[in-house]
Amino acid sequence: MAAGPRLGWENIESVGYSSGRGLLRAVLTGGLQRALRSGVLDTGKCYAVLDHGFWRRPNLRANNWLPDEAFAVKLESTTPSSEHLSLLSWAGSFGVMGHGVRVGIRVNDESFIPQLLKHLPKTAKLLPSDSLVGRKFDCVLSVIRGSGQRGAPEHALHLMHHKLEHSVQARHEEDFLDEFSSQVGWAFASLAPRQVFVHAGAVAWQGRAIIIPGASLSGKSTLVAELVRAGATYLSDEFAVLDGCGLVYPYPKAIALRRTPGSLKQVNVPVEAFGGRVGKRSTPVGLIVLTGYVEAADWQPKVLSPGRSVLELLSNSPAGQIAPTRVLRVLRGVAKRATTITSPRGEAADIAPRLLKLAGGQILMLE
Amino acid sequence: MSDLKIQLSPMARTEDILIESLDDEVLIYDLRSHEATCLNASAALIWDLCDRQRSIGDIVDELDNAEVTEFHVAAVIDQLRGKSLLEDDAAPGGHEVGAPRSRRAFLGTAAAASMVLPAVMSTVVPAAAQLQPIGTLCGSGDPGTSSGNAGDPFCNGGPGSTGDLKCCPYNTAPAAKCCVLTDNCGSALPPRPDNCF
Repeated sequence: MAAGPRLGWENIESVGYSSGRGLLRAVLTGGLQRALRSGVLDTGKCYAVLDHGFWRRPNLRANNWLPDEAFAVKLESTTPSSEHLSLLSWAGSFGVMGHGVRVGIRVNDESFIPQLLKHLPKTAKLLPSDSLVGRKFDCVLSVIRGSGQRGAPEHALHLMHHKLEHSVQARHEEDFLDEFSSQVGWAFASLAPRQVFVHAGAVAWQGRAIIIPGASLSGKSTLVAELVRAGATYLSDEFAVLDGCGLVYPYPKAIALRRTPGSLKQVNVPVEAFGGRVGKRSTPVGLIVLTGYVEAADWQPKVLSPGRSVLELLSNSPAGQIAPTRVLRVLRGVAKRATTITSPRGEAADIAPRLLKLAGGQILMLE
Repeated sequence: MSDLKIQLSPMARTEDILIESLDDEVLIYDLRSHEATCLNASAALIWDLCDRQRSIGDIVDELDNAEVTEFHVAAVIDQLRGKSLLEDDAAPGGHEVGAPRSRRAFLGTAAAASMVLPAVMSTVVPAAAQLQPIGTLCGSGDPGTSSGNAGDPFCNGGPGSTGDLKCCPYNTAPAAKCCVLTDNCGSALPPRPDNCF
């Protein structure tokens, strides 16, 4: 692979450490130290930093897609590392809008842009460059493509989000592109000004939605897949996108299933592989299922009060701390209109038909 | 009359909290600690009646629930205090009870409060970064801490190890992703390394 563009690393020695400490220190180790000495970055590995940053005027190559001003964000939304990232040169950039959130993506390698575009969430729309004149992004992703050489100590990606830190890096491009897609989605989830995202699976059945909040590795995607296989309409296996009227909107993506239980490696499986279809319309939430896989668990669901349901939804809401007033109000509306049940579950294939009967009102809850 | 009954109630906190009513429940979001608390009807009424003028005995009387004693009320007050939803403790030696302040708008819970024992549930609302799915590699950290393998913070596999280092989430406090020697991060997760934070 050809060497990437020359980056403006000459000021890198002045980088300070703060909330970006982990990121910058890692970036400076390994192969990138060689890049510093040679002045040329080893390309092929993937790096990305998600950050709010000032866009200082860099040495842009031709075909910069967006005006510099678009990458300037409000002072209070920067992290100290933002300024240092803005000292780098960026070869290209583009902006997307989704759920009312404007995300700017800048890259050190223009040839990487088509792949990034292909891996955007389906609800993201590319912004024309002239629409951003005089406007700013809500957050900025900075993508640095690395060398991709096996055995090299340098790695990819650390992500830093507005006032938060999350580090992700990938040696393989496909892994990075999956993470890139996920991080754009999490930017939507954290910053959407009107909708409330809950980390949850969601399907629709007989005019009502079933949402399954839960953390990673709790088995949401597996249960969603079985519900789709049993005939439900797929809405998402990552986010239930809620509004103040108790409706959930599709957030479609391939269902991410673990290769083996507990494994971190995922396989993206299109919904059609389960004989399912993707929903296109919003659906009122009818059933909220709080569950997780426990081997040989006895499925004995209990009904939770709306208040307790809100607590569970809140604990899976990325914007819970950022916009608690709005999030609380929306979740209250959803919890009041839906029935919430909780129970550990065994195999998803056994539970899915029973959940659909519950959602369809065919079984009277006892508690 | 027991000492508990004549003990004055503390004052319910009013600053830096959000309150949402839900029929027979009240949700309180603490903007300082990002902790959300759900009070059922009885607990909500107890909190509402905490005004540093009513005694615990007064609160028991107003609840009008034969099942709820001063011990229940005191226990709820302790729980609310633990969640910083009350301000200063009641004045010491408080036998005097002045005119109670007017109740806030929780009248809708009064009927329900007469039928249930008080219950307080809460959760800490996580920051967005704590919810994000596990990436393919561990999180940031200084070399030699997250992995236990100096110079290799990203689970590349320790030298001489027979298995792969995996980056596994530990849902403990504080939550962390630690490189550990395991086949997968499922039920057989090894104990969290001491140097992983």
